[in-house]
Amino acid sequence: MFEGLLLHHEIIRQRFESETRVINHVEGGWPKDVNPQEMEQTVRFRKKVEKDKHYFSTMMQLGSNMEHSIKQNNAINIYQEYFEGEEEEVVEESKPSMFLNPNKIKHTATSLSWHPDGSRKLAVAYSSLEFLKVFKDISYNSDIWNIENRNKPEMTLKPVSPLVCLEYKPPKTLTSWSEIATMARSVAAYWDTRKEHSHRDPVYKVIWLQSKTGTDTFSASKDGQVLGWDIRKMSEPTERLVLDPNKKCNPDNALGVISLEFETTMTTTFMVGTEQGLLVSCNQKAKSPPEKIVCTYSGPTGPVYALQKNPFFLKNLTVADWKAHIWSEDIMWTNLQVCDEALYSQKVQDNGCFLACGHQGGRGRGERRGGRGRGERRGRGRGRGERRGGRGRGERRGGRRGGRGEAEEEERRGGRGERRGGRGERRGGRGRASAEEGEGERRGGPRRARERRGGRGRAPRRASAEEGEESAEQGAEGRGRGSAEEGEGEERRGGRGERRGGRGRGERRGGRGRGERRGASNAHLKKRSGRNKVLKGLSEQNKRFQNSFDINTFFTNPVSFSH
Amino acid sequence: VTVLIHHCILYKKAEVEETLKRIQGQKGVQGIIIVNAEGIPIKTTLDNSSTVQYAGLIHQLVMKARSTVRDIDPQNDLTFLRVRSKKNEIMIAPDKDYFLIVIQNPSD
Repeated sequence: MFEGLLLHHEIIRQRFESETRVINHVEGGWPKDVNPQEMEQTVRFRKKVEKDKHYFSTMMQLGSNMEHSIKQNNAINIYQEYFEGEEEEVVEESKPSMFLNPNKIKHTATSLSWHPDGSRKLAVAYSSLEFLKVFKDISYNSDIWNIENRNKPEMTLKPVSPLVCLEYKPPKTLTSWSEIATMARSVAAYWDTRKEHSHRDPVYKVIWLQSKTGTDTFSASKDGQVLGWDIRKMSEPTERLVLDPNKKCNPDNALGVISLEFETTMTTTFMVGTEQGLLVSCNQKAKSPPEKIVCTYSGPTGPVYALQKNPFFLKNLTVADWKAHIWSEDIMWTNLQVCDEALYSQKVQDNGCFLACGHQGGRGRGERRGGRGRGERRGRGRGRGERRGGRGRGERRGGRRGGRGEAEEEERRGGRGERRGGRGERRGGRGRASAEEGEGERRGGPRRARERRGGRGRAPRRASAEEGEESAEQGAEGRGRGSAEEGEGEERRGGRGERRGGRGRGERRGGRGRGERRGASNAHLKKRSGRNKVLKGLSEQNKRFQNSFDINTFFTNPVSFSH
Repeated sequence: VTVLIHHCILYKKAEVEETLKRIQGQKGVQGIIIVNAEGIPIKTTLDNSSTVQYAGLIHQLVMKARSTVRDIDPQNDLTFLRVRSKKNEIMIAPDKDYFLIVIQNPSD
């Protein structure tokens, strides 16, 4: 039996089970006295650590380091994919160019006109609208610039007195551009010598008539007359129309005319915008003067600075004063309160959808006119806003004044093309300087206007900024007239070539766009203060030049924003 | 005296808490872990398993990084380590005795 038991033991083998396991060091490093499974013990350990002095100092230091890095990460994501899907684009020459006026005394460019055959010539008229003040050494020259040559004007016109308005002839005729010099000069310059025949007040607007002879033109001025001239016979106007609302041809009642625009299809009818806010539709071919005034619309409540006919919807007409109105012939469709300040010029885009307005504050707003005046979207913040539609079009036009809007100009010219300015700075932001100056000058305007007209807005001239603004507002008619001309004169380029594919600037894409907009708003702010500066020292001429200087410095900055 | 020390400690503790709260409140921060030199997570805002995982793995990474820096230049030392990945960024501020680990999702 004993032997049997031993055998049993030898035969039976023990089983040994083995298993493969990975050792997961879940929590390491716990001191020996702490059992990691016991929550109480671990918590106690942690609390003890948290009370350690060394822990505090270390944590403070590490914390501040860490915060810095976190903020860095939040500020900018350096690993972000920028410019996704963008192709390389060739950016045309898009820097603003300055055409320096070689005169010593800088004065405003009151009118610009591009050469109608699409070449790069630009005529600028310099003048001062403070006609009551006589400048001693002021130069009367107006220049014609070729935009490729920025140092010197290609040609200088030397009229007897400064030109206020300048227009290139539409390309219907074969006459060269020299014709216009004659035209403008004689009309504007001789206003003081030919009192009985010509305008008594400065001519503010000159437009060419599409006629067979190609030599007819109309001029309008603040004295309320719209005169038709034949340039071959400059001694006397061929027609005279006195804008009297009572249709009586009484020159004393006449309304000052600020803007003038033809209907595109009917060359015998034109609309006249006046200081008092009336729009007068006139028929040129009417036999007697009273019949010429066909009807008047009294929609706008302020001076009508710019008119434009919509080339597409023939009945639309936009008007700018403090608001932009969209009219049809008979009824007023919409009345957009575009911005709070006076609008000086505006322009309808080619396809009729966008309306751009420039105003005194230098802001341009774009509105989209959906078909019938519905669906307006207001573009705030710089005139950029809506302007959309593809690339080439959608440029915002408008006499921009003020710091922003370089890009607008750019686009207007298709990314190229400079605007000239009286001070040589007119171009994008720079260009504003002259516009500002123009404003400055024109602040003297209201006073003059008041004197002449009486009852215009009697605020006495004050030199302080706020008051200056007020009086400037009241004297709005004095303001910006030239600029309205400028805006229009410029745009009236025969609608050609102005809106070229806006390259470079107009595009806002991705990160680039954002940055630009930011810059823009800054520029906007700068502009505001710049304008105040202008308003301040307006009563004296010297100050005016100083102020324009200030504006210059303002505008040399931003421009990265090319709107 | 012990009462004074206790108050000092409490004040400092509050400061540390405040710093951590501030970090936690920054945009994109997903979690904070404080790990000691042995790899024990002292404080964390994540769940336990993630915490433990981060603590263990990052500890090794920091050690390696630090030794790399010191090997290249013995006078040098590691001050900060950032691990940028597709989904987030792990920032580690190392010290002799403690690490501060912050996981952040960068701004988008």
